[in-house]
Amino acid sequence: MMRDVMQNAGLEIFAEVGLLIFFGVFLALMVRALMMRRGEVEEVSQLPLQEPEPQHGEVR
Amino acid sequence: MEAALSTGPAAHASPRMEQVTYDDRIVRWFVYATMVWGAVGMLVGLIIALQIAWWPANVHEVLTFGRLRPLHTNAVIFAFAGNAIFAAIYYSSQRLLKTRMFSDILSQAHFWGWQGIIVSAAITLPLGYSQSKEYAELEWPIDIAIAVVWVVFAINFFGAIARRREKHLYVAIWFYIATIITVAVLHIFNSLVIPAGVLKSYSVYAGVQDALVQWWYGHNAVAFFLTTPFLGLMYYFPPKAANRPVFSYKLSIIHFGSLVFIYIWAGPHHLHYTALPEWASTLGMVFSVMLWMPSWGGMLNGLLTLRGAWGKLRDDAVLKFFVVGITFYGMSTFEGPMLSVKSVNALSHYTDWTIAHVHSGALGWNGFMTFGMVYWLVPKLWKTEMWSKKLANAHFWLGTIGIIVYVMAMYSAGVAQGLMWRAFDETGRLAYPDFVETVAELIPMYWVRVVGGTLYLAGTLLGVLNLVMSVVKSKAKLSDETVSVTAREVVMGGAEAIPLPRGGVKYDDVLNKVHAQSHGNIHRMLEGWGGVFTVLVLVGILVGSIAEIVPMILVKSNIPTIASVQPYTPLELEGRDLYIREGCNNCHSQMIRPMRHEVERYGEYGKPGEYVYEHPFLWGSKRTGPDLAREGVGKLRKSHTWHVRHFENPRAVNEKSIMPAYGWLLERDLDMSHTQQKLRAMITLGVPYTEAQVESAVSDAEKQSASIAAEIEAEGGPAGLANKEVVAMIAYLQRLGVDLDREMKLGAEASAQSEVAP
Ligand code: HEC
Repeated sequence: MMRDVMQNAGLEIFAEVGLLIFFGVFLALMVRALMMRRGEVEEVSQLPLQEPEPQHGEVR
Repeated sequence: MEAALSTGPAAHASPRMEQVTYDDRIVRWFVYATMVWGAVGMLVGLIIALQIAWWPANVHEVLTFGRLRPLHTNAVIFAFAGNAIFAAIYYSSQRLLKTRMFSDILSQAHFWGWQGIIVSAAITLPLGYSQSKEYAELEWPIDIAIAVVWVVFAINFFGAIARRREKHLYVAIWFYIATIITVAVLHIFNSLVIPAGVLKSYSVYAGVQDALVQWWYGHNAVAFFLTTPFLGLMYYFPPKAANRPVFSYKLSIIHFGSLVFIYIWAGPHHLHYTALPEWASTLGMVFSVMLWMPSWGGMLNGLLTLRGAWGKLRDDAVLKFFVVGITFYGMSTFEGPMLSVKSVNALSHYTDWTIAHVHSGALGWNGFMTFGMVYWLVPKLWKTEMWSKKLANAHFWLGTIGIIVYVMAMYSAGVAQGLMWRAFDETGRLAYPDFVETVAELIPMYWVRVVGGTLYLAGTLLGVLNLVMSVVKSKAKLSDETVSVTAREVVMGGAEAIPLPRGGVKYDDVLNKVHAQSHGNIHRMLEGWGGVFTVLVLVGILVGSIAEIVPMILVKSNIPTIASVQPYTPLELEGRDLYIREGCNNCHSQMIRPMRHEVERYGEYGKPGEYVYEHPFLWGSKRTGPDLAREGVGKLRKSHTWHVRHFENPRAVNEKSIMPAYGWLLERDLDMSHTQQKLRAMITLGVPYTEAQVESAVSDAEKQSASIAAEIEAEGGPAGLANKEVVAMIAYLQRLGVDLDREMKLGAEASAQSEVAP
């Protein structure tokens, strides 16, 4: 039922254009991820573990 | 150098340092709220589980199943998981961005605003103020409050990003960004209503359109409220607990990208199998499989991160919660795509299988990730040991066994239910023609569920006790952590501060240099790749959302009209609002699927044109009771008096019924003080009532009510029911299916005549 309604609506263009834009951004992200240099990867993945030590508690 | 100050410049000139004091108090508050609301939400869950197994547990009007189920789902999603998300985000973001949150006042406004919303939900839902759309039941003033608090949260969060002292945005932050943006879009578009009173409103969408928007919301709420923020949590806390970096950072970015973009795109199956052109539909199928792959990639990434800490697993409750939580993530993300396969869905839809699925996600993934985080946070936030490690382990085991018992019970109930509904005997008749027989078969399983839920809740209560005792025993003066970090202008800095390193130029450095040289404000905002990618992610999500929303809004004009479909009479409309008030849609569907057994059991399947005046749609998603879409026609039609008796005591007409009794409907006068306002709201929405109908609405309703009451009396039912609520409800139920039935009879006559004519 839903299929008929949506298919007869002639709204494919939204899906098509959206899909293309989505694909562009998605690819950019993937390329960026795959091309990250080793050092950079290491650096970023260490972020949660290399938080500076707390110095002294500030009493509130 | 590189290691000690990950973001610092190359090794010349000692970097200027700054002091940062994190706001830990707000995290502690969110942790308290998480545990308290978690216990409350689960307790309500246990009550409604009991009500299904044992109907007398519906002890009072405000405590009936139909009213409490929305309270349970909202409490667990928005109060338990919601506060957990906020605790995770406030704790980890400050540290990952090396800055305090943007504003303490905003943090507090966020906290108290959110708790206020929860309290108002806890009051209004049992009182029957509901929009009826699942996980979006709260009435419009509360919806506005949610939007405001969400904006407060967003400013606080993006403000912190803008002020960060860390160039790189760790993957957890990306997940948080996607969460904040998408939830805002979802909430706004699904909550558009026309008010018809202080706590009453009608969805601007009707029927098919309303269903599309609602399930676009519902599906993506799971994705962006219960998945992405918890993945952010998964990429931060388990590495901390295991003291090792995430197994593969690249994989985590791929996980992020595929999940966020594909989810918003191919996630809502409604669109997935409908609006997309054929080629895209094929692509969409590939997407679904693709979605399963990154999900499992993410699961493996999480599990492998913990691999190095396997040794500690035996006595460390934190790690155990994380391992099992992540495993359930994998199970749910496998089951989800499977349930969206049409042939599986044909069996599972409307059954308790769906309930099993959401609970393996909610209890296993969301619950256990939350508990793991809380047990890890307590020593940090309260500067103390966990009160009892034994108790924490007991919590883990109770929870794990609880989930398994719960999920097993609901799987078998769901599959049995689906099979009984579709079973035919040798003579080609329904094997279970009486719906209630299928319900009776499941009662033992419902009791098993009660046991599973009790175990899980008991575990949670141990967790609450452990938290309270840890806090009480903590001798430490609670303080916010202060750390010394490289100054912001050095990290994000100008061209002078960051010379391009010799050997291997980084994108980030180049970009930073470019940005530093161009002085426009926009460029300042876009510092580094972090900024650029934030914007890209925003664009991606918004495009995906718009590409989905626009067709759903335009589709209205394409629904074939059915001439005989007319708006409800004022009395029927009031009856419909009672149906919404009592939450009958939590047990009853009103959408018959085009399948032989459904048509056989209930009558003609649903047509889009039938629902054009249904603001909101009431198709429901679960059949604890039978479908009611054809209740007013054919073999399902019953006398008014039958309905009166049934509401007064369902057991009086159907011995095995588990439906709550609704005695108060017989006693209470129908409130017609808003009837005219309601019709006017409907006119605004395009429902063709005339001004004359509005004028005479109340007297028309009274007339119809009097005539139904007279029939009841004539049938030998109770006298004096005119203007009682029950009559409005009956008027509504007797109308269900009538319009389409008339059309079909006309159609049949017409074709008969044309056959006769030469
Ligand atoms: C706890 C789940 C539950 C709730 C809530 C509930 N029902 Fe039911 N309902 C059932 C079950 C189970 C049956 C089948 C047994 C029976 O006839 O009582 C049923 C049967 C019915 C029937 C008879 C259907 C038929 O064709 O035999 C009607 C009408 C009905 N319910 C209306 C309502 C209305 C109106 C409300 C809200 C005021 C409501 N129900 C709330 C579970 C529920």
